[in-house]
Parts: sequence; C-alpha cells; structure tokens
Amino acid sequence: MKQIFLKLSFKMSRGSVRHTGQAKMEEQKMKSKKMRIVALGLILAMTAMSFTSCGGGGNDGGSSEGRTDLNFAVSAEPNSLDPMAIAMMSTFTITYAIYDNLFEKNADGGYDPSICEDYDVTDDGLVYTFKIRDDVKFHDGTQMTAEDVAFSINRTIEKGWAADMVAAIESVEATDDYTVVLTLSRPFGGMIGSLASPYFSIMSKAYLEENGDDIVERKPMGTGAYKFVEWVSGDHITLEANEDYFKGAPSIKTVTFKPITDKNTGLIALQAGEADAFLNVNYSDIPAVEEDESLAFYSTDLAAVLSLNMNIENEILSDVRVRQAVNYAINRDNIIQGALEGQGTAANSPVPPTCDGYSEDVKGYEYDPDKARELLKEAGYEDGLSLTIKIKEDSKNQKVAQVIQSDLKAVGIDVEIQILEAGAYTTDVYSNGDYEMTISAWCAMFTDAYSLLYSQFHKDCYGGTGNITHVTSDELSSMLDSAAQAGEDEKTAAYTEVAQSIMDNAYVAPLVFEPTTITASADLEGVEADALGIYQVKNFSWK
Amino acid sequence: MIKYILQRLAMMIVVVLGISFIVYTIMNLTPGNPAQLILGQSAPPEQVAKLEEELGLNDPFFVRYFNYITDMVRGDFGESYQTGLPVFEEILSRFPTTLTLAAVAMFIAALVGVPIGVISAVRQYSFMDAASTVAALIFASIPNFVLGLILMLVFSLNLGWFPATFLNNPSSYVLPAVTLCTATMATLVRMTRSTMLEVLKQDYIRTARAKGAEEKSVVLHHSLRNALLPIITVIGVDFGYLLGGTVVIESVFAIPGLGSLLITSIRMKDTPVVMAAIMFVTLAYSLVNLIVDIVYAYIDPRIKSQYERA
Repeated sequence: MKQIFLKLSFKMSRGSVRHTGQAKMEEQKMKSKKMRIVALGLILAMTAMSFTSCGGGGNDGGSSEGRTDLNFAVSAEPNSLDPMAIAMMSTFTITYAIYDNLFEKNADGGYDPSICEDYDVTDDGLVYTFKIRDDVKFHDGTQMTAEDVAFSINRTIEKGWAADMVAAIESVEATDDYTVVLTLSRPFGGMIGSLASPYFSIMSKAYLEENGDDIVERKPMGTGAYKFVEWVSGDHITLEANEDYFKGAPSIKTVTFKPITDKNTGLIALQAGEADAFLNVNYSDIPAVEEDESLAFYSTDLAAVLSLNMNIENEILSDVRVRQAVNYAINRDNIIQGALEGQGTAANSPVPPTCDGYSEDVKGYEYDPDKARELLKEAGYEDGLSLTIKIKEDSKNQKVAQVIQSDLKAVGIDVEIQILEAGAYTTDVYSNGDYEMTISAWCAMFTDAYSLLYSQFHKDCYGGTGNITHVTSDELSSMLDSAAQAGEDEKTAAYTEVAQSIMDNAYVAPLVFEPTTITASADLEGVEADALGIYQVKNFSWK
Repeated sequence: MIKYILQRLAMMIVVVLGISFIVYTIMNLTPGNPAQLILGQSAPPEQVAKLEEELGLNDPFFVRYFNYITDMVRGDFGESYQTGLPVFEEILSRFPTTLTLAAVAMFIAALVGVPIGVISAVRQYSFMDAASTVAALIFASIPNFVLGLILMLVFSLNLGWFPATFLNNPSSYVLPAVTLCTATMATLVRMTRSTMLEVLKQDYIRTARAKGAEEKSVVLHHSLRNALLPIITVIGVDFGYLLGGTVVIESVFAIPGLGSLLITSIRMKDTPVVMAAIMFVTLAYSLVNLIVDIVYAYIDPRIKSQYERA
C-alpha cells in the first residue's frame, strides 16, 4: 500500500516536472517572440528617425488668441544690460524696451520726438534746445526731468563707447526742469539719429547715484514700455509691461528673452512654437521658412556691407592699381550664389541702401577680369603675385574667402586663406594691423553713412578704432568732416562724393549688401525688419 | 578601507591643482585679449586699456597664477571678466542642471545598455544580437549634435512630445539626455556582451548549470555579477565623457548649464569662469571614479581585501 502510494506520487511529480518543462519552453518561445518584436520596433524607430525630414512643420501653432506673452529668442546671452557700454546688437532690443530716448525712429526712416515734446536747432546747427515732456515717469514712480536727460547724455560721453556719435558734443545741461540744451563744437548732421540710438538711453540719475553706477548692468530701470523683472543667468531675462507708460501700455504684457545660440535649434523652436521671434535664421533655411504658413519672415538690407578690406600699408596693396584690380577681379554674383545661398545684392558702395547718405549713383566695380589683368600688368605684376586673406573662424566667411580666392587666381593673384580664432583675429587685424586682406562687415550703430564711413576711413580712427585699411589721407578725412556737418538736404550729395572717392581709390572692395532678417510667429503683428537688427517689442501685438 | 579613501581624496587635490595649472597656462598662451573680446572689435583703445588694468591682465603670468591659487584656496574663485559676477555662485547655479543631465543620461544608458548586452550575449548570433550590434554601431558613430537635431525634429516638432529647448521641467531633460547617452549606451552594450560571453564560457557556469541552477540565476547571479566589474569601470570613465559631452548638447538644446557657460567663456577668454568650470568638472569626475572604486569592493570581495592591504 505504502509502495503504491510512493509510486503514484512519483508519477505525479514526474508528470508535473514534465509539465513545468514544457511551460518553460513555451515561455521562452514567447519571450524570444517578444524580443523579436521589440527589436523590430527599435529598428523601425531608427529608420523612421533617419528618414524623417524637416518638412511638415508639425505643430499647428496652437491658438495665439488671448495670448499676452512673447518669447523672443536671442542669439547670445548679454554680458550686461547697460546700453551705454555694450556692442552686442541683440542686447539693444532688450534695453530699448526698458528705456526711452529723446527721439525714436519712425516707420518712414525718419525720427519722431519721443520723450521730448519739441526741439529747436539754431541756424548754425550748434545749439539744440529740447523741451522735455512732463508726464514721463520712471518705473519706480519718480518723475523724469531734464536733469536725468543731461545726466544720461553725459554718462554716454563718459563711457566712451559711442565715440563717433558724441565727438561733436561740447556740453549738455538742464536749464530748467524740462529744458535741456545741447551745444556742439561743430555742426553734426547725424545728431538726431544718434540721440535715437540705444547709446543715448535715458536713465534715472537718482537710481544710479543711490545704487551705484553698476546697478544698470544687471538691474536696469528706465521709463520704457517694459519693466525689468528678472535675469536668470544663462536661461532667460523677463520683462513685464509698464501699465503707466506715457505712450500707453503695450499690448504684450510679458516678454521673455531666451538665448538660443544654435541657429538650427532657433528655427526648430520657432516651428515648435517655443519661440515667437528669432533673428537671422540660416540663409539655407530661408526658403523653408517662407513656405511655412505658421511663420512670417521679414527681411531688409543690413546696415553693414560685407567687404574685402585691404591693408594699404602693405607694399603690394599700397598700389591703387592692385586694389582696383582686386575690385575688378571679384565676381560678386559668384559670392552671392556660392557662399550666401543666393541672398543679398552686389554692392556698389561702402554705404548700404538702408543708411542715410546712400546713393545708387556711386560707381562701383563691375566684374572685368581682363581689366584686372591689365591693371596688374601696369603695376608690374604680370607674372602674378601672392597675398593672404585672414578671416575669423566662421563658415560663411570661409566660403566667401574661397570664392574670392578662385576669382583672384583667375587673374594671377595667388591667395592663401588663414583662418583665425576670434581672439587672435581681433588682435592681429584690429589691434596690430598685421594682415594683408580680410573679410569684414563693419556695422553701423545708427542708420547713417556717418556711422559706417567715419570710423572706417577717417585718419583719427586709425587701426583698432575701425580704420583697418590704414587710410591717412587728409583729403578724405576733411571730406568726411564736412559730410558729417551736412544737413539733411546735402547729406546724400556729400556722402556720394565720399563714397565715390573711396571707390576710386579702391580702399576697400565692397562685396554684398546682405539681408538681416526676423522670423516670427505668423500671428504676431507689428513686426518689421530692422536694418540694425534692433526691435521695438512695444510695437508687437497678437492678432 | 577608510585609509584608502583618504589617500584617494588627497590625490584628488593634486590632480585638481595640476589641472588648474595646465588650464591657466593654456588660457594664457592662446592668442586674444579678453578685454578686447569683451568690449568688442570697435571698442575704443582707452576703454580696452582701462579694462585690462581692472582685470589685472598686466601682471606677469606667475604672479597672476599665484594670486589665483591663493584666492581659490580661500574659497574665492574670483569674478567673471564678462559679467563681473562672482564665479562660484554662477557655477553653483548652473552645475545642478549639468549634473542632472549627465546622471539621467548615464541612468538611461545603463538601464538600456546593460540588459541589451546581456540578452545579446545569452542569445549570441540571434537576430536580437545582430540588431543590437547594428544599433550600437549607429549610435556610437552618429555625432551628438546631428542626433540632437533629428530627435528635436521628430519628438518636438512632429510629435510634440517633448520641448525642443530647455523649459526647466523634467520633460526638458529627456531629449538631451537621450542624445547624450547614445555613445555610452553603445559602449555598454558591446562591453556587457563581450564580458558576459567570456564569463558564460567559464567552468563554474557549466558547473552551475550542471547542478540544475535555473537559467535566470545562472545569467543574473553567477555570470552578470562577475561580468559587472568592467561594466562599472566603463560607467565611471564615461561619466566624465558625459559631463564633457554636455558642452555640445547644451548649446544645441539651449540649456543653461555648465557646458554652455564653459563654451561662451572660452570664446571670451573669461579665465576665472573657465578655470572654475573645469575644476568643478574635474572634481565631479574624480569623485565619481572614487565612488566606482568603492563600489568595486562591494561587488568583488577580492578587491576589498586588496584595498585593505594597501
């Protein structure tokens, strides 16, 4: 009986063992099946990833209805928000929102009084009298007076950054609570334009005196349409609407400026709706942006000219015929097609069309390689010559340099391209003047030919201050001085003469008038491309 | 054991000092004047000279280095040339973001990489094995910034699952961490596979199977634990790689971390920030490696006895 029982139990257990064994095998089969499915999924996902192209523009934008915030992507984080001591154009969009100026640029390219009610200039152009509005208050609630205006202009002079704009100012003083008198040592046709530039932001004298001059670097306070809220280092800067703004509260209530350094990321952030505005997308992305219905694209000529600068202290380049030959040898359309993705127009002058004083009558250089060869022969270089181009590390500059290299090669000039890191480049080209040719685009600080030509070609600005061509011609300098004094009516004629003289002497080879662009959400209104790349956020509103 | 840890910590100080000297020298030897770079090309020469004086750039190299080190020992990392803000606070505010990013990336890499490696080894030459090899090859070769952009296009733009840029919430870490982890994940897959294969051929594994141990126990307990040492080493070494890798990832995804700070500071030759940022990364890397070495002792008792002997 006992034995039978044992046998039975053994049988049963054997059966159960077999049973679990089968289950395990099946389980394993199932598992490997599952694994295969997982693996297949992985591979499919990977394939999908590699084939998904950038089309689509997936998001339907979301609705902008009722939105009162704006995310403005800037290409770099500011070092400081003191508009009188920075040279980063993207930062000026932020300071423009916080501060006001005596004048403000209007849509027609002229200047309207902003915090000044009225102004008067003496006939000799030497004394400006500004009547200041009495209804302007700083963000801390204090009244803005003529004292603050005079203090701010003096601070601009003292900081020294806007050297070319303040050069003519002899004194500035508040004669009563709402009158400021600005006295010049010589007439200056660009004075009103200068006063509209961010360098002439109006600050509160009391605020700076109480909290120290440095306070405006991280905690600015002005009279502008927006109040400073916070700056989270590396992440964002937030402003909020000034409801008591003397020209009426802006429609967008919160503005966040976020640095996005990578242009591809900037475009994706725009398309994904994470950014509402971004400047200067890659040229290669412009066609896609123009097609995207959720985005609006605005473009204008930049207030700078992409140029090939030549150092006339170099023995070879001191010969005007060589410089002219270089100008004739370059096919500007090749640069536009080959290096700039078809963007921009061939430049005839060192002044771009978006700056006051531009004239299409300035005779530039047409592409004429035969003429170039002839000039080189005359100069004694019929067997060819070699020159170097030093450029700052940047893929666009590199492409431009390569096109120039091949154009110059065709007329017998061997060009070596040297690519330098930004620090080394500035030291070599600007501080030490140790270069033969370089590619640069000197940016105007306000849209006036003065801002481009004075610094680049006046003998007083020799070297580091901008005149890297090293022109010391008295004739050109005196022409620049008289053009600076010219009134609105004579300005264009005066600068046409200056520009023509620069072109005749071939002190520079202007290459291309490049565009500057802003891409914004299609529902954002009041956006218009700006030649300086500085925007007035207070004019923006949601549809 | 404690003696060993203390020895290692002392070594770390030497390493950090050595690195500080190397970085300071490099920053000093590379061309470019910080004052000029900060003020911009068009800055007036007087302003440049004034700033140079303020930043103490006119002192001789060794004087500057010595001043820097003595200040640093006292806990003063100086002020940024660019912003004038105290460097230590700036770095402290950004370091957590970078550390979180690297840690999440490492977590994903280990969580996905090790199991796939184990499966590939156990099912050698199976379809799964081949697929993981191909995937590892692709992931190890694709440049970070390319993958980052592809992920952004797919998962933020087309699917809208994750943000493309940093919005300071947990989901902002997903895409950058996935981008960052791929190379490490690939290494882990291959490393786990090869060490597991080696271990699985050992006699004691055959013995374990012969005595009827379950396959799960053979793989996870007998094999994986023995294969884990080289895997942990990879994790430790690659953590440094991940901290460094954030330099690219942070620019692509606009993340306010140490990497993006480092890259802008190098461009501007902002020596105090570069020094402090690199020393922070060095320190984090050394600490992680120390932790890895301590973890060895718990995984493998043989190593623990070695530490104690030393």
